Amino acid sequence: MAIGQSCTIKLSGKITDRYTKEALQGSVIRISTVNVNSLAQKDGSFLLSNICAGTYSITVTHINCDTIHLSIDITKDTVINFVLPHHAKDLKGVILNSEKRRDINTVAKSEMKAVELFQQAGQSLGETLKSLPGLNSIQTGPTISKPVIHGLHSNRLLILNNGIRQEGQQWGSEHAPEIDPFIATRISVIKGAASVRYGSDAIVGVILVEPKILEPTKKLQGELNIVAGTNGRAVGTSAMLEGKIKNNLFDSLNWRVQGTLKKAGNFKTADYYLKNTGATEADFSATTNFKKKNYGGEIYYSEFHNKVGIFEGSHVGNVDDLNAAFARPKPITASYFSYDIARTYQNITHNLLKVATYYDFKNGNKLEAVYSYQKNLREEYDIDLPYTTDPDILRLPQISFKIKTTNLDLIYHFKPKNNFSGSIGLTGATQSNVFKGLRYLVPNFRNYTGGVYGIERYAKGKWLFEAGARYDYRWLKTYQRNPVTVVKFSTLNIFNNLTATVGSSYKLNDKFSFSANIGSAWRAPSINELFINGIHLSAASYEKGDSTLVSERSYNFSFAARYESEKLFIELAPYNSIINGYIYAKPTLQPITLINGTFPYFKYTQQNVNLSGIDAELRYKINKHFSFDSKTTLVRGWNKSIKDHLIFMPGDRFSNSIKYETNTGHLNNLYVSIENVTESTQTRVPPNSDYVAPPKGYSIFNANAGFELPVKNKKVLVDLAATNFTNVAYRDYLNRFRYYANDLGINVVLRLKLIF
Amino acid sequence: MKKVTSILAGASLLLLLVVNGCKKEETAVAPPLPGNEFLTTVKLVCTNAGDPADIKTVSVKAIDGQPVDYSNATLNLKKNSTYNVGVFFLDDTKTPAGDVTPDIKARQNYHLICFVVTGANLTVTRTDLDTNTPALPIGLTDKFTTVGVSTGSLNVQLRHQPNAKNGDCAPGSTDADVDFPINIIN
Repeated sequence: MAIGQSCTIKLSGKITDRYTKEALQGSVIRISTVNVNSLAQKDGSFLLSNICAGTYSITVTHINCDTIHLSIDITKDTVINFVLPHHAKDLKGVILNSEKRRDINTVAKSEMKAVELFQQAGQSLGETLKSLPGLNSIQTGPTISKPVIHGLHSNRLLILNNGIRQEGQQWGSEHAPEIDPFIATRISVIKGAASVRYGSDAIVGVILVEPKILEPTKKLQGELNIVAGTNGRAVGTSAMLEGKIKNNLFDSLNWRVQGTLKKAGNFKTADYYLKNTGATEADFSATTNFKKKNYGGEIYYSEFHNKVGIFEGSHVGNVDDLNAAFARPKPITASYFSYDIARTYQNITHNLLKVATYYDFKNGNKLEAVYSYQKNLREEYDIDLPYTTDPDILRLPQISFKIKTTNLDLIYHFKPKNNFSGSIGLTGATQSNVFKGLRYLVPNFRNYTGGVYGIERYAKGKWLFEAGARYDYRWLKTYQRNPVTVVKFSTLNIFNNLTATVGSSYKLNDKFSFSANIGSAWRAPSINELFINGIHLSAASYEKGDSTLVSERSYNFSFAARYESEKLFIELAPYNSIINGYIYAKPTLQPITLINGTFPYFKYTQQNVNLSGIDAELRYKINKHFSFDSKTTLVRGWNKSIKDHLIFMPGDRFSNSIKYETNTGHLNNLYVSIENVTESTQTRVPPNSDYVAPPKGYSIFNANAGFELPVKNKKVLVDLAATNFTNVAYRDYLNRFRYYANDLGINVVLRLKLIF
Repeated sequence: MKKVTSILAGASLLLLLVVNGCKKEETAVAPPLPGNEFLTTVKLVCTNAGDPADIKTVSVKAIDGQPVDYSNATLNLKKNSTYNVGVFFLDDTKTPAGDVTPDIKARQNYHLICFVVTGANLTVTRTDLDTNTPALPIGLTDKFTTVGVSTGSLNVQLRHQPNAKNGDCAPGSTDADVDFPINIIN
């Protein structure tokens, strides 16, 4: 950095609260690239001296505010003033995202920021989040992955894409979230029951996928990402352009467009290819926002398209096929590399439109309104063609689902007063689901939901208290035909629930802090749990729903203790969740015999279960260059009704890494890291509930190396990663294809990011 | 005031969009596709090569939601005889029953019928070939050869083997899997 220049530049300024205009004493301004920081004085002023000329990324943090990140060029003494958006208050330009994150403050939380996201770029959402403590992923082969929080997934966790509840066919474990992770600069995970703020389904938590706040500093700026990996010869590129428009109408008017393309062919395990595991993806999004003195708005539109091949070796007709497949050391049909995707595959389209506005009242209160419309089309093309010679029928998918969701949220924020702050909200949604298939699987439905909630927070000194309550109502009408008489009929189910949360956090000193929360959440039975009746092909099982199921309820007790100093970070977050009326497919003793063989017969039922565990992380900076990071995820699931373990809970997971960092010559943040991920064999499983025993535990090594290269006022980030670089052959308990094949072998991935 | 009015106007527009979103598409439940057929029944038609009048027809039927019907499944064959056998797959959800066999014949290169005899003195030989290179048996027509008096069962499987047919039963998945009781009699 210091190339022929003396390093005597001073950076000074003042940090104030955007809303109260108060000086923010104790704010930390930090030049992250060179690890220099300063604490703001009583008047909010700060001074950083002895800086060399160059481009720096700077972060400004204050305990009650959202962190600001920015990149600036410094060539001479510079005065710069920062105005931080305060706690649950107005954000210049836009809206919502950071506030949403803070809506429940006392529940355990983890997040991935831009740097960590870059090091996972090109992966699906589920795989991206796997590195956080408390998270796992449930996979269906290499391309379908769903996030798992504390052992549960699918319709027991909620995903908010840019503030909007993601609505697809999330009940299926092979139905991955239809979200392009490239849109996010931060992904936060709330680990605990959070229905009070987010509504039903937040049984184990909420994942918030948050795009960068649209607040460009230049007329035109952007980002280009390129990712290429050896396994599956996967390539991906994502580009983003944004800018501000000078105009007389608004105080600010900004725009952004973003798009992603991805392609991958057959993936390879340690020693063989997996036939028909390629995928393609094409995504697009556009945003614009504007702001006047006391109101503003945002329009966001996104499209997600992907086509995912399903591993051919996983196709089974009945349990004998499945047992035969499992007995083989490797899949029966040899494969090779190819980008072709043949039947069986999934074709998925997801469209999202969001319109958000806010209005600041003169008395300091604020009203937000968010409208969203989503359309999700899922088509599943099976290798088993229907018995017909009609080419029009042969072209059709065997199964398709089209679900449309319209949602309107109104949120009213009260001006913080006497240490109190709070908000109330009103939400309403309607949804229609149309199923088409050669065989009956689930009925069509229409549902209307409504909810009202309030959350109040009291912050004084070292203490923060919060409490909230909510009421929800859900009206669900299903439409189907009697399979014999073909006569249409409909059924009506109504669910309504009260939920509440209380929590507190305490900051002992500037290093120690604690938080504790008791939260509750509920979930209405999903359409498959109520009404499915048929063969679940990929699971070789016959499933029958139960239309008398009632809502599932969870009570979550979470606690987090955190120690954070310059050198050491420790976080311990134990939790316990009681889930009453937990719905699952229980194996019956009688198998069912159909023309194509014998199937184990599962009936959906409700029992009371308990989940507990610990998420832990320790980071230690050994010296200027070396640091150590250790993460542990332990989950225990117990079915209280049958006094046995809960099936499909992840094994204990430990990840440990050592990182070397330095700044040399032209390169910033040069790093090399090596990581070991070890998952122990899952031994806590109920007897006779799975076709085969859980696979043996495994231990794999990953490595990463990268740097930042400032080029004029642009920046290039480079990362080279090798996952499973010792090419270990292993199977993961939560990968459904463990019945048929090994998990992925070595993958070397090069990632480039240009910021301009 | 102007601003409040415009916000109200915006809100009503949104409400309109919400209400308009409710086209009742979901109430029109799609009836079963007319051209599609289900495989519900496996039928064997056995003609004694030495006595064309000796024809035995047996079937196993399983319609979704009903127990498997074995009432006409027991196959009684004469000892020391040769039978020419046709295997048929039917759709008994329709009246008259639909015939799925031509669809299987049309995709013969992806299908194989497998036979496993347990207990009975019976050998099964497939007599038809597909158009793979080299040509592989299909099993829609077969020759059953009986020896001594005995009883047992015959398992018939329709294997679906797209891009994987190699003459073996192992690849692919099962489309039909039924057992016929066998009596070889005097």
